[in-house]
Amino acid sequence: MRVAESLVWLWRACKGWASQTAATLATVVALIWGGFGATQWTEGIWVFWTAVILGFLSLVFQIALQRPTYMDLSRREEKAGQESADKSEAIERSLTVLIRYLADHCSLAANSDRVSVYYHHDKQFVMLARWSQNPNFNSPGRGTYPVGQGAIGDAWDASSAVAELPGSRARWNQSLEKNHGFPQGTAATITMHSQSIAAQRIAINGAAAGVIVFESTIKQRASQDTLDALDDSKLYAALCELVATVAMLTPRVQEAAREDAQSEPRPNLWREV
Amino acid sequence: MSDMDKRFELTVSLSFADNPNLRVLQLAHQLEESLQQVLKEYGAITAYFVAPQEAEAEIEVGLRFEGIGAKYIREMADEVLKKSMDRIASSSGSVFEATREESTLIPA
Repeated sequence: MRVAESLVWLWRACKGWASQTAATLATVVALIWGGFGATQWTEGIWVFWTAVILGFLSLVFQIALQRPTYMDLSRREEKAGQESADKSEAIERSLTVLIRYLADHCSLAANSDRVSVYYHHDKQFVMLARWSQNPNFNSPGRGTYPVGQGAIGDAWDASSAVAELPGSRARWNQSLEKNHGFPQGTAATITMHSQSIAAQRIAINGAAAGVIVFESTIKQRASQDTLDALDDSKLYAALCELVATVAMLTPRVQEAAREDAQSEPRPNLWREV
Repeated sequence: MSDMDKRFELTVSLSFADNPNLRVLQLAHQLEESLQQVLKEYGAITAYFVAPQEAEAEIEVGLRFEGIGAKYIREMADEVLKKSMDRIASSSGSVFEATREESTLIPA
């Protein structure tokens, strides 16, 4: 069995290297032939023919043995890339369907609401899927989000977070930048003015994988009740499994760039009663 | 683990922007004293903090809850804060309009 396997690998090596080896030898022999000087067409004629034969063999090996050809391989690579992208999109679509049902289950599927799933990857959050009935809130936004920013960061650190934010847009922008780790000028570019947010860390067998975030432009609409309803749902259990296993295959995670961001620890102000 | 076994921390930002002559540091001190008294009636609240933010005319109040379902926390916190503000009003004679700007509830 081992002999047969060795022979197969020997054949593969010969097949893979024969053309290049013959071409290299042809070059070396041609150089030697050049060294014959004035006698190259008399004493050195056999060296000349050896170089020609090796060159010809290289061509034959290239045509006869190199299967599939380089062009074939390029075509196959392109096709595989396309198939992989299609599969990634299919996974993203399935996640979107799942979170749409979850939004329904948690009574947060109105025009004012949105649900997003994020995967924790390389010290940042990558958005895997997002659903809202309102097309204005459905855009993928920034795509990646640093750790320690907003409710995603709070839920990641503390397992869940329920937040209410100011009703005035100016105060909202100020609050996001001052209290929730958003860089200067970022808050004003955000389309959705979420006034209530309920976020929960997605974990499988004790290992945290991501965060699910429910948002609403209406105060108190996304609340602890949303997270309680989420916990009771079998769909949520399925989502956790999916996020933990297939997230790496989704397009956004594949494209995610590395970024170093850490959540800043808050000073301890607490006093026992 | 049920909600009853968990500890939750609620942080509330109270804005006093509609009170132009307000001294935030002084009010924060009064609020802390008042809160200490009010919290004696609430066994579920085991820790607190009061952090004034003068520049924004805001006071951040933190309340730690134990042995209470998360869904009742908001209601209880509103009650505690209202009672505390009422105590300040009755002792100092001045009424301050506080707007609850934002809050965050997380498991501790």
